Parts: sequence; structure tokens; C-alpha cells
Amino acid sequence: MDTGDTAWLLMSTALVMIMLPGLALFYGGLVRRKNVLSTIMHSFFGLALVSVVWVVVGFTLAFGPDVNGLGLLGGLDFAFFNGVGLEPSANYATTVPFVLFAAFQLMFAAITPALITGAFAERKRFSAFVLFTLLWSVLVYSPLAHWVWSTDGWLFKLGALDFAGGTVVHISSGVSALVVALLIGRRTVNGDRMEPHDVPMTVLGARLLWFGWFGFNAGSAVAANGLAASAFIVTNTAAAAATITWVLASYLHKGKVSVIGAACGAVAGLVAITPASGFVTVGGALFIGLAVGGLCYSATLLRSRLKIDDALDVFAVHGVGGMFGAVATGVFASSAIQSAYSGLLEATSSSSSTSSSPWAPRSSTPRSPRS
Amino acid sequence: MGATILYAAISTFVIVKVVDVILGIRVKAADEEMGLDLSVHGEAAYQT
Repeated sequence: MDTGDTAWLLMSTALVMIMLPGLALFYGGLVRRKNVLSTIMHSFFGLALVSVVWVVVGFTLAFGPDVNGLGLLGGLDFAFFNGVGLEPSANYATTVPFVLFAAFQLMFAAITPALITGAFAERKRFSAFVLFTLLWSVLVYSPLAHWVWSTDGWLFKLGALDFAGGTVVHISSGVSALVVALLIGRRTVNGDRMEPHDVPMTVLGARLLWFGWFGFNAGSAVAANGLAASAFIVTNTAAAAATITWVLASYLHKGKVSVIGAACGAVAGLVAITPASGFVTVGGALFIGLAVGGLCYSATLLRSRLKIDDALDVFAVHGVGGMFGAVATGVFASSAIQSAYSGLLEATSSSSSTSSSPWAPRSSTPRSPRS
Repeated sequence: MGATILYAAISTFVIVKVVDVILGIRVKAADEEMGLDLSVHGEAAYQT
């Protein structure tokens, strides 16, 4: 066990946790005044709910040994964190206590359904939100996490690269948000001014998200090493670049530099860099950030034009941003960051032999990523 | 990626439908008009 790795992952777990209040404020400021508590409660209660669900059954379904060898779902070996102890796992984050790895993953599991709440803000029944979150966490999040991040997972075995959750967190929540928004229907307006009631709250939320995202991405190195540092700087770079392009887009489109746009742009950049954060260089991050700012901005315009009331643009930012990030990972992965992974741009040949868990020490055999 | 999108979309669809049948997903129109803070939580965020 490595004390440096353990210390950093402990810190990262806490950093990811802060993204929940960050999200609560980000969303809270965007809704009407009469719904701010409800919006905030979604993130808060979501953390409470998933925290319990995860230790009981969520973690084991995601990271437990595979049920039938098909790579679809973990078994119940780790239910109630049975067998998830102070010793490191042989498969995941091998230099830190297994329970810490599970705690880190808990925060990811908690924030993912919280992202979806943006789509149904201001009109969902609380009891329905609770049941939805519970079911979604167990039936959607855990299986997806198993597919992509478990060493038994079928997508993992196919070579899917998702360093910190572009697919498992952002694409899944973005797509789900769209589905919920379409099913629950548009908000009733009745003469209300449909605009953010507290922009400073939203901006503060975005800043907390950015701060916490260092744990989300750099923490996913599960080690206190150069890879974490690299993930750290590319995260910052992509967020910054996307902020600039979104602000620029809002200026070109509306003649004003939008502050809300700056907040949204930063989040879009952070989303897009998530799957790529362990694989790309600063140059790749710059491109990703610059591109996704404009892309997600356009997605919000399209959403508006299509009159889909995904209230807080979860799909436009997380869904589109996540998809873009996943593709960009395949293009920009650089063997300079991790020698085993090389993207389209590097155009090296692939020869995959042993697959290694995204959370384990790297192998040195070059492998082309696939998203 | 496609597998994720399909799985997320379809399973979310099913979950929403099930929840809607059991509990109803949308608040009543009057509650929505009042604002969820008051109607669902009985609390106001600000004091003015």
C-alpha cells in the first residue's frame, strides 16, 4: 500500500463529493426562485440516497466479480461492502485500501443521477425522484460502470477507454436526461420569467464543480503520480478553453459576453475532458476545450429550437459534451501520457495483448483506444 | 458508446414509465404553479 496514493485518493474522494453541492448551486441558480430548494434538494438527497444504495448493492453490482462471465453485471460478493476492506484489491487501485477505491467510486455513483435532475427540474414529484434515482443507480449506473470499468466488463474488454467517466457518467446521464425531459413534458410557464434567479449562485456552483473536478479526473489516476498531474492540468486547460469559446460564441451570437455562458462553457469543457483526461496532452486538451465550447453552445440552441424542455441543458452539455469527449479521446490519446494508449492522431499500429484495468498499473503494450 | 446510449435511453424510458405508473412523475399543476419549494417542501428559500 502506498501512503501517497492513499492520501491523494482520500482527498480526491472528498473533492468529488464537493461537486454535489457545486451541482446543487449550479442548477439552483438557473431555476426560478420558487423552485430553488427543490432543485438543491435533488443533489443533496441524491447523495444521501446513493451513499446508502452504493454500500448495500451498488458497488458490488458494478465492481463485483462478474455474474456469468458475460461482463454484464457484478455479483453480490461485495454486498454491504463485505470483502471490501482495508487491504488493496488485486484488480483495482492496487496501492490503496479497497474500501477507499469503493468510496471514491461512490462519489461518482452519487453525482451521476444528480446530473439528470437538471432535466426534470421544477416539475417532478419528490417521491418519484427518490424512486427514479434508486432504480437508475442500481439498474443503469452500476451495470454501465461494470461494462466499462470492471476488469470483467464487456466494453472494457473491447478496448473502451473511459478514464474518469465520460461514458459512464456523462453520456449516460445526458441521454437519460433527454428521455426524462421528453417524457415528463415541458414546464408550465404562466407568465413567469423563465430565467436564472441567481446567477452568482450558478457561477459559484460552476467554480466548485471545476475545483472538485480535479478530484474527479486527477483522482482517477488512483495514484499520486505524474499521470494524476497530467490529468490535473489537462482538466484545467479544457475547462479554460471551453469557457473562452462559449463566451465568444455568446458574444458573436448575441452581442454580449454571457456570464452564465462562462459558467456553462467551463462545465462543458470539464465534461468533455473527463474521458480523455488520462490520455491526452495539453495540446489535445486545448483542442477539446475550444471545440466543445462551441459545440455545446450550439446544442443548447438546437434544444431550444426543438422546444425540448431539458430545463438545464443536461443533454446539451453532458450528453453532447460526453460524446464529443469520448470520440476525442480516440483521436487525441497520446503515448506520451500513457505509453500503452495511442490515438488516431498518433497513428501508431495497435497490438493488444494483456488488457489491464483502467484502475491498475499500466501495461506497456501499445493499444489503440476505441470509444 | 452506442451501447451506452441505447442502454441508458431504453432503461431510463422503462424506469420513468414504471415510476409514473406507481407514483406519478409530475406534480399537480397547482403545485407546479405554487413552486415546489412551498408545495413539496413547505419551505421558502428566501424571506422577502
